[in-house]
Amino acid sequence: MTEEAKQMIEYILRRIRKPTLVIDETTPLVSSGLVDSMALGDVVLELEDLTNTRIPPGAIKPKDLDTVAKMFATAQRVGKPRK
Amino acid sequence: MIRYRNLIEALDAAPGERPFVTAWVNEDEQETVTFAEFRRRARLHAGVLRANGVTGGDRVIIIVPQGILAMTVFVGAMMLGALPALIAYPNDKVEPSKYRFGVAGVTANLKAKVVVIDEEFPDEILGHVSLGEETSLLRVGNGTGLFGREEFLASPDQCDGVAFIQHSAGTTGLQKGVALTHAAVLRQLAHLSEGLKIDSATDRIYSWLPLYHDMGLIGCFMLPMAYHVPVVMQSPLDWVMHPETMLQVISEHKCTLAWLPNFAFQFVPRRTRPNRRARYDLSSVRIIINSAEPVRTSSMQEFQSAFAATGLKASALQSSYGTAENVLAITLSDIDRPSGPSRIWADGKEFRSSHRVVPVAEGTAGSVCFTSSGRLLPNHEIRIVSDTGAPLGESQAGEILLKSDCLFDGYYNRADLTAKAIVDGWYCTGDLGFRVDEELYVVGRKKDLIIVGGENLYPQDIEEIAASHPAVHDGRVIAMGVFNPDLGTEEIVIVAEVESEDLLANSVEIEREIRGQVIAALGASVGTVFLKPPKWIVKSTAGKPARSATFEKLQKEHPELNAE
Repeated sequence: MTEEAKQMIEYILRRIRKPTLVIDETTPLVSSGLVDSMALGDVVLELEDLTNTRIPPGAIKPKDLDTVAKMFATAQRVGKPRK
Repeated sequence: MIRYRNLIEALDAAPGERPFVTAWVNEDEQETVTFAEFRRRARLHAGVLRANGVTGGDRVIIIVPQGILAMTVFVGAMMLGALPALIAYPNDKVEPSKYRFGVAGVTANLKAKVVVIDEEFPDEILGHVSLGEETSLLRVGNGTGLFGREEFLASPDQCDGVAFIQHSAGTTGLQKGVALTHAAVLRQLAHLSEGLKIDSATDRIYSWLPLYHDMGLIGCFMLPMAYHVPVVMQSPLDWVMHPETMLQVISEHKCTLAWLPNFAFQFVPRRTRPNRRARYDLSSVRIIINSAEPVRTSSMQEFQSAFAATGLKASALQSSYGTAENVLAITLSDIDRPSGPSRIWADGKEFRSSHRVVPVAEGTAGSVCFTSSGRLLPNHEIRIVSDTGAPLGESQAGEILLKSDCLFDGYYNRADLTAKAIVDGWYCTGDLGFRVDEELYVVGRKKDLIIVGGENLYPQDIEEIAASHPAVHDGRVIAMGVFNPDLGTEEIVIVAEVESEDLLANSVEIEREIRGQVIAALGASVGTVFLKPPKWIVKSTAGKPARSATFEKLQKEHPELNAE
């Protein structure tokens, strides 16, 4: 697991207020309800910071952020360099 | 002044070359249709709907993602004199079982002639869409709209009576279909245009609001359509994942007017990093109206303070109170007032014990602050009444009853619900409020009021106090009144989510502190505090705590609450 993925997992656990929960890169987050739509905006911001990219609106759907692995794959696929 | 006989005539009068709807996805992906192109597409859809047997009075249900297609189909149906109804498209915000229940109930009640549905609509939900023997199902998608070869040209006389059906708040549950006539909608739009000083040459509306909600449908679709104002829209889902884009769109398109629910006044600033705010320019904004839920002064102040450096004028943040049953708005604050809506501080104890507003100086200990929702629109009349229906005077809080020239015709196919809602010509809003100096202050919902030993307590006040405890997650508190047969009155029950599960180990101490804070601020003692782990409280479709659903869940876990 990359350092960025570890940081994202730590961030998500803080954000969903479950610091003792164990999740990995493949744990479903959106489809399981752990991350709700109101938290998705925060997750996108964190993903942009960790990958130093900008995720264009309209390029992603909640299912693209369902696992930490999918988040980073999505950032690689649609992320643009930051201005 | 109303210049048109119906909404279609108003659309027909729009200058063809003027941009109408811009569907904004991101800075590289946007589609703009002019009024002429919008009319052309709507007429083509009308032709296809007519070929499928749709005529005046038929219902047309539209379950399509937010965008120009949904809007042109909606207007196409209106051109035939049919009654279109936009239903929320399924998304992850809505629990699937709730969505299925809602869509089944709404479609069964409407008995539509045609259901227009997106080609990607999930098959597992499709079975819950009620389709009668005479219902046609039309699937649409990218490049496969309802485009026939011939435009249907509506006769102005064809569109009369009921224009469309908009559903009361929310996206789930058994929603009530509010039947609105062309005349009522046009009168409402005339009041809004006058109150907001709409100028079609210079105004431009921004919106992420869902079109199945009255603020989205009326404020950001019907108003710009009838008053020929361009509107820039983005999908609610894109917005919720990128709240900052609201600032980007307003800056890029120099938007002047927007409607937002109260929660967005906190949601956007908290998800826009301070070091990125300087890149936006909100100086074009004339008005952002806070409506659809009780207006909180603190939320508006947070927004203003976060974006003052972008050129956002203090006078731009305004308020309104309304209901889908009155098309949209009932009141509107004075947009020329430089400091925004009026506020009033009242003696908290007096207000709770007698429902009476006794003004005190700002910041007085034990005071409560209310933000005005503005003055009544023209031809609107309200009564504030007690529980027994007796009229109450100024400064006395009670249920708001309404008469106006914009009221709905009734709930579609639900005469029983209509009879309960309209009594002696007055629409019973179920909201509580008071008037001071001709301004209306809305304080909550009648059914949520907690009455303890004759003292009236508003759950929002208790929730704000409990949420201020550092162990409690902000916004994740519900206060309610539960009848205690031993006491012969209600007692306060608080359900609060802690910030993290490990804090539950300190629950005795946290409960004690919350009780202490409530009694210190309100003089009322709390019966029980239930501390729950994160994500325990049931949320509404808007992401806010759902009072009744949470109480049901609480009763299941704590059967002692059912004792009568």
